[in-house]
Amino acid sequence: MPRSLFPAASPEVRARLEQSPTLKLINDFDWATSLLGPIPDWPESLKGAIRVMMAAASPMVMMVGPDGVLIYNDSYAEFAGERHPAIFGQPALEAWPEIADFNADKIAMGLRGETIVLRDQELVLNRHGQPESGWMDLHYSPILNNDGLPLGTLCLVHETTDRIMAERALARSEERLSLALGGSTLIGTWDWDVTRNIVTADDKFAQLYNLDPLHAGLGLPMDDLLNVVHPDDAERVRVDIQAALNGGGHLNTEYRVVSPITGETHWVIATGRARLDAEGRAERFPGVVVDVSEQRRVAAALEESELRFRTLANTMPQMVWSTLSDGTHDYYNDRWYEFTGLAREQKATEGWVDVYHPDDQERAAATWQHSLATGEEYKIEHRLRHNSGDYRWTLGLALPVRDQDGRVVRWFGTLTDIHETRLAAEERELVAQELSHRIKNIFAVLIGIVSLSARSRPEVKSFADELRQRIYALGEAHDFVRPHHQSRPPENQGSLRSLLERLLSPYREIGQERVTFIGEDAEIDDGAATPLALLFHELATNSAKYGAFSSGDGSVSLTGATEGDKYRLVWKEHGGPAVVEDTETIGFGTRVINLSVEGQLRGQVTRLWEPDGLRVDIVVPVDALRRSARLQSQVGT
Amino acid sequence: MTCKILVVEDEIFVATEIEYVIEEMGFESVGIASDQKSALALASDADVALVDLNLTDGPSGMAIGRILAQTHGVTVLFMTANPSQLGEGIPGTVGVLPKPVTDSELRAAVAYAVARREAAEAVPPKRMRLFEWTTPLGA
Repeated sequence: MPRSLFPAASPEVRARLEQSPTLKLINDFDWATSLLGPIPDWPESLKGAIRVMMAAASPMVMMVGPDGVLIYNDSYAEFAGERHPAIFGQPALEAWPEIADFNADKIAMGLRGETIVLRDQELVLNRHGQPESGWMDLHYSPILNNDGLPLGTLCLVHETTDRIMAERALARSEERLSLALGGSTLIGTWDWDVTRNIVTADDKFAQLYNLDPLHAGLGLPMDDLLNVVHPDDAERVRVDIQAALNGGGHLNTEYRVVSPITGETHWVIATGRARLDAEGRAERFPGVVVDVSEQRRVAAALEESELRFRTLANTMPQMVWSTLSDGTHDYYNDRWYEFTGLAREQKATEGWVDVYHPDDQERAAATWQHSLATGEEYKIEHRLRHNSGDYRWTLGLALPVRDQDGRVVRWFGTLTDIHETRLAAEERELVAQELSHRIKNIFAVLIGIVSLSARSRPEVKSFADELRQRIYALGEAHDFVRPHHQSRPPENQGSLRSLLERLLSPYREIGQERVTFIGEDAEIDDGAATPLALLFHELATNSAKYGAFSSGDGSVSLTGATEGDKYRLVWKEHGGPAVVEDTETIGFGTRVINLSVEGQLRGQVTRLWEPDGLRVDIVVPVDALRRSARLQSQVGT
Repeated sequence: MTCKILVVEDEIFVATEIEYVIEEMGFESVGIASDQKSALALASDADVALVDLNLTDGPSGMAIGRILAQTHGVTVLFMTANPSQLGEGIPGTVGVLPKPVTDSELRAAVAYAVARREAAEAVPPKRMRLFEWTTPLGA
């Protein structure tokens, strides 16, 4: 007798039944050595229950006897994964060691005749090579023998892992969306059921629209929302919505929402898309609104700032321009167009080179390139073509605007018409030059008159020669300090050392250092130049007669030093003939020296006839040397 | 032969003194001219000319110097209170000495002009500016 669950089955029926892998397994299993013994010894109630189970579509498993020997159907075999078929006919606790306690409990419950239903029970099972969480609904019920006592436990398994995972993913997704929307103070969402005309919206949307969040959540007719749209925008919004409804297209519209209570206005952008039904009618229309009030405010502030700048720039009498950091022009004010007569339509990047005077273009370009390369201030005077066709002198200035990192982001510059000023300065220079020539001519005439006068009186020739030379020295002083044009300042203009170099140049000889200057120089002006010229003329003339300049290898050293508010200059002669104090007479030359230093310059002069040569100490107040120092001392007192 | 020198100068005291100096130096003065017309009238008599720029008929000195040098072969030396008017110089002329001048400068300048005329060696006064072309035209 075959050890089969279906002992009465014909061979054909048996073959058909054994197409089920688990049924075949039951028949082929060596039950004799198992705890249950061979099939024919099994109680009829058990066999009957097993027959029902094997034919069932739902995954089912039996844990038979106190050891819970596992017998299951095809669906359960699928559920068991790689553990099938090794676990078939094994005691449950050995078959599923990872849930041994769980199963022991259920076996005991079944043997006590109890039932239990577990929903979405999570069990960690190793069904595919590694322990994984799985979720399942489990229905446990006892298998009753014909004596009414439980033989074992039947478990109906309905795996819910896929659903649980889907639910969790959805929950996470919703949580993220909720966080995203909730984290932003700017975004609200709505969903419009077009068919029923009910808009449901979230709290943020309600806040933007000044709606009761409860009402918004439950749903409102669309008109309630349109009522809070700014009257100037409402019609446009309606048109946009209608267009999206008709075409099933996107809505993207910007408008104001006004609070009916506070009157506060928010700018929002609404974007959404109508969902069409099978007939092409809009049935749903979800979307989001974004509060763009802040961006609008910034943009408006920027626009106002820009307007202010342009207004200011256009009220200036100067031409104003700006460039990008690379020097590309992007703005000129009205003055520029008025002055140059260039067309406003012309691109700002073009045309400006042509209005520079051809002779100034290269210089202006080099100066500009230097500023662009170094970030240094741009400053240049050049000629610019006026709309009349004449070139006019202009002063060009520009400074860079830097970002937080110190990089130049753009340049702002001005052009000032200085034509009249410059012409006036040139004319002044001409007048000053002319005046200077006349003065020099007068000196020449004076010298001529003195010479001529002396010709008729040979006995005063030496006197006349001295007088002539003093007049000449005065002429030198005049020439030294006369005003010069700013653009052509002579070297060392206004320094004592340069005046000395000039006055003493006749005593210098090539290849011989007869005059040396050491120590501090002093600034002098025209007021001091005259007495100083006379002083050094007399000292040099005297030296040429009796001192260092009278011998071939004599020399004079000059040493300057500032001592508080005084300036000391020492004239020291070397290498001349031996000197003795001239006590006989105080000559006129000496008087000129005393008058110049003590009378004119409020200083002191001391002569020392040292054995190696004359030494003259001259000490004068610094403020006697130049007017600016005099002014300062007046302010100070 | 004594060198003949023309003085073109509108300040008579200056001109007279120069004339005296010329004669003291042993040269001959051919006269004083205070404008272009009188200067050119004496041009053919002169070997050397000392020429001021601003004269009674205006700033005609440059033109006079040019004509004297280029047309009459005169050795021309400018003496003026405004040397910058001459710019780079007048072709054919020797140089310029800024006024006022000292007695010794005047003597050195005359001596130098005469020496140039006679192609002799001479040292110009320190303040004299010589023009770049060293070979007089027509020489």
